[in-house]
Amino acid sequence: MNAGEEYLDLFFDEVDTSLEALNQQLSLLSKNPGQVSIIAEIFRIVHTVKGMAATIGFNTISRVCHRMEELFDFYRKNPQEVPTQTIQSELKALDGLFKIVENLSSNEGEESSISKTLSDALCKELEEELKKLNVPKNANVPKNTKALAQTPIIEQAVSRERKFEIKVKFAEDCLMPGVRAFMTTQVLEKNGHLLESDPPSESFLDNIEIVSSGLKAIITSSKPLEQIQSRLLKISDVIEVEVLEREMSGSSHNLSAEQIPISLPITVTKSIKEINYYEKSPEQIEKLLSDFQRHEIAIGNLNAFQVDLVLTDEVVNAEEQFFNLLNNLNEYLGQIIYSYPSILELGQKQENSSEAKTLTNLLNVEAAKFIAHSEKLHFVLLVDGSHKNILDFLSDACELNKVEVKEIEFDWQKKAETEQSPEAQTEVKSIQEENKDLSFTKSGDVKTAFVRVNMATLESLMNSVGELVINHNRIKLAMGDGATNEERSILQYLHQVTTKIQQLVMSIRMVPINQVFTRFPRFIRDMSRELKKEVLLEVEGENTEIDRLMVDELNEVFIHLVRNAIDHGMETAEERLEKGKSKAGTIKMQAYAQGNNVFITITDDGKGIDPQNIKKKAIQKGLLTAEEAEIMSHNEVLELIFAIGFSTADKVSDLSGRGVGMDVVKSRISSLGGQIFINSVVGEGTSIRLSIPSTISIIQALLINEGNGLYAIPLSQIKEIVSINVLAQVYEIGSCDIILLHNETIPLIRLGKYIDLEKVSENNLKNQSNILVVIVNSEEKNYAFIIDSLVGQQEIVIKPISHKANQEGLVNGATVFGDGRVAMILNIDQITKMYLLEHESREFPNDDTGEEALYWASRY
Amino acid sequence: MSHTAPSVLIVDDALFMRTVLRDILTKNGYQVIGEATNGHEAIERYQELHPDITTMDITMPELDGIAALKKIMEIDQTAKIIMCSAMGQQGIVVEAIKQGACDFIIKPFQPNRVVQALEKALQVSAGE
Repeated sequence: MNAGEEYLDLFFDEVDTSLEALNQQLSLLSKNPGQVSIIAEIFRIVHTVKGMAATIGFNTISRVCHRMEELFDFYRKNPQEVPTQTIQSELKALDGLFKIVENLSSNEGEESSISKTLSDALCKELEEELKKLNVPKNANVPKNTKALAQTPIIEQAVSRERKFEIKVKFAEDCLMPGVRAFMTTQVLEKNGHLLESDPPSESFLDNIEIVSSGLKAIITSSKPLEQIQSRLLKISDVIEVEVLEREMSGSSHNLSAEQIPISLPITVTKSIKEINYYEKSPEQIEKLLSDFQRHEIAIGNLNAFQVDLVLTDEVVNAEEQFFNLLNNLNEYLGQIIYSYPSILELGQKQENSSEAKTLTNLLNVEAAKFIAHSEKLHFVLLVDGSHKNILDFLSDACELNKVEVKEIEFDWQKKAETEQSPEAQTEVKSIQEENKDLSFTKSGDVKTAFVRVNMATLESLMNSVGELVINHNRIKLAMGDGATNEERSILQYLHQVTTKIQQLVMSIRMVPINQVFTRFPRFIRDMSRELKKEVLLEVEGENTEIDRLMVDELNEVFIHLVRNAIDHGMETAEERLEKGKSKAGTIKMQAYAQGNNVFITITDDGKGIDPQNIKKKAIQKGLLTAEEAEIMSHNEVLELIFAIGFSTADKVSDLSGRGVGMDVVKSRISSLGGQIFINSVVGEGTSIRLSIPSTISIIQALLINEGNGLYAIPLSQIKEIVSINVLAQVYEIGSCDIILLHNETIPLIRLGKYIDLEKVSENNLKNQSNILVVIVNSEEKNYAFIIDSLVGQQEIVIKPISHKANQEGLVNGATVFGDGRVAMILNIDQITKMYLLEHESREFPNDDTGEEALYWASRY
Repeated sequence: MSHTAPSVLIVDDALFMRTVLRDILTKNGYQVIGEATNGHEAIERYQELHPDITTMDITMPELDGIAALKKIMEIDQTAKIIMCSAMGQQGIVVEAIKQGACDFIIKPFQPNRVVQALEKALQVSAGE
């Protein structure tokens, strides 16, 4: 057995110990051959060895053990002196076992032919000993139970208690039924006194028949019958429990046929929980209804109802009840169009069972089982009325005490008009189900079914939905103002459906961010072990949903950030203790959603980032001059770690710095349409905050006209749109223009310069009195973009565009409109970055504008 | 959500088995609050975490599942411990049940059985 290989050493170790103990006990036994405690102990040890050997697959051992066990089982149950000859045989077997184990051990677990021959010989000898006992295997059992039943304590108890006959059935796929049977008897013991059981408890473990035969037991108990029953049903794999109360008088220790149950059988089936779950029924009904229609029976305003009846208590004759009920329903209330079991079947069964009933008086036990065969009825009823009518009828008509009625949402008049494809029906159904009042479904009753969908399929579905949105807009545009009221309402409906489908597709794409987070406990554990730092992980908001497409991207980003945090940020335990911090560091991963965005922070409580180190590094690498460094704010310095080719690590460790720098992290986030911020306090830790759109396919955007083109700016980045008086509010600093708004100076960017090369008009500002600007936020700074005109706000579908067309990354994609026009979606972060690169390098070192630049820079 | 999720302590010496169990449990709304790799750790972690349910492997180094079970039951009579057994360990499982284990699951783990066992364990109130 391969699975056992890892346990091999353990096995040999344990078997050795066990065999040693066995040796000891056997020699004790030879001095006191009749001592029960020794016999019991030997039985236990042999049994344990047998179990271990069987687990690991050593039949040579388990076979011998089994026979040793059988011998001692006899003496255990029939206390008497064990003959010297038997002890000798056992000792011989033990020696043999030692040899087999040794042989196995030296052969690395292979059962050699030597050990097989030895095992055979030992088995034979032990069998000889067994034959001498000349006792049928279970002959001792009735004797034993009888003895038990006649003990005075039980008799005494009997007078106060009730006596029950209990039948327990186990699931067909039940593993280790013997243990389940044991658990059953244990529960019975706890709830009363177990008088006898069939099969007897001694043979549970070797009896695989238990699954088919079930377990019968007789107990006395003062507890209510229902309690015993419900307690038994709580044992795993117990699927049915039948409890019959028996008369106290008379011979009580066997299941004789003369006895008549004094109360009705109560059968509780576990499947009752599932009765409200219909998976196929709506389709079935639909088919039935169409059949129904074909027979041209007037349907009028009838409603279709699906009804499930369950009998739980005191069922005398389920079939008869059901048969009569269905007939009555058909006659007085409506039309049964489907039932399971069918009326025909029930009719036949009823005949059978009335025969059985006559037999019952003769052989009550078997017949009772036969009658209480079906306790569930499922039918579909067409009724001119509501479900209340059915309920009223049912509660009057029969003694059924558990009635479940469920109305089907089925507008079959419309169904008759339109031939819908099965796919379309399923879709409609799923939408309906979502909106449906869930009061009918008890929690836990409905199983959720999942379908695995190829990501590409989902992607193509999303694109199709996008097309749908676009075409909806096209129709709207084409119809213009001349649309009739009817057209308008159809369009309105189309819009609703489209939106709904869009939402559904979006929701399919959304997954909890936990999919990313769950990979980290392990990662952090491994890493902290490797770096010999103690790190704990805290996760918050793991149910925040993100687009499935982002999972992999984010995973890489997080791995990098967490790796950095542990490698560069975390101190060793000693360092931490010295600083008066807790021994183990903590990394917190938090996520929450706000509007269209998801915010994720990764915080560590390590040593933080020293801005001086960053400055030094940046100057060394020629990223900035000492003068520039002087005037930078704390945050600006920190932002430097996102600069291309920047690394703060003094040495590249094995784990971090695998070629992926923070600049790559930033561009990843940026390509997802997100932003990244950093905050760090020396000695206290670092926090990296990501803001990403919750979905990357459909966004709210502001459409603008600039030059000859139509552009979209993600609404999430827009702060405001204002008209600016050029004379009063625009200032020139070097080659930069800035505007003054709400006492804040904001760089003024001509979009045309970056996106529309034909329209570079440096001086056009002076010819205008007012300009329209969009104030956008990028990396916590504001910028003003000059635009020609506003088109409006709209939800747009992002279509990715090739890298060739977009080498500088100035656009995030494109979107197509109903009229066929295309708009580019601007990557604001990239544009502002280019602006800063261009102006910082050109303006700041320039002495002519130094003073103004200083002023400028100090505000930013 | 976390305040309603029943907490589970997983005890198994094999990382692989712990991972499998953790995945099954997490997916089904349980919160795995701790793991232990042998009986001694199990006892320590139990006292520290007081999980709603503990899954206990039987065959473990240092201190096996049965011994750990006994010890935990001594500490907390209401402890709900589900034994993880391999096929063929019937006798040991019976021993575990005698010592107070509330159920057992069999390797290789089938998710539905695992979840069922945990659900049942939660249903059974402490007094019974």
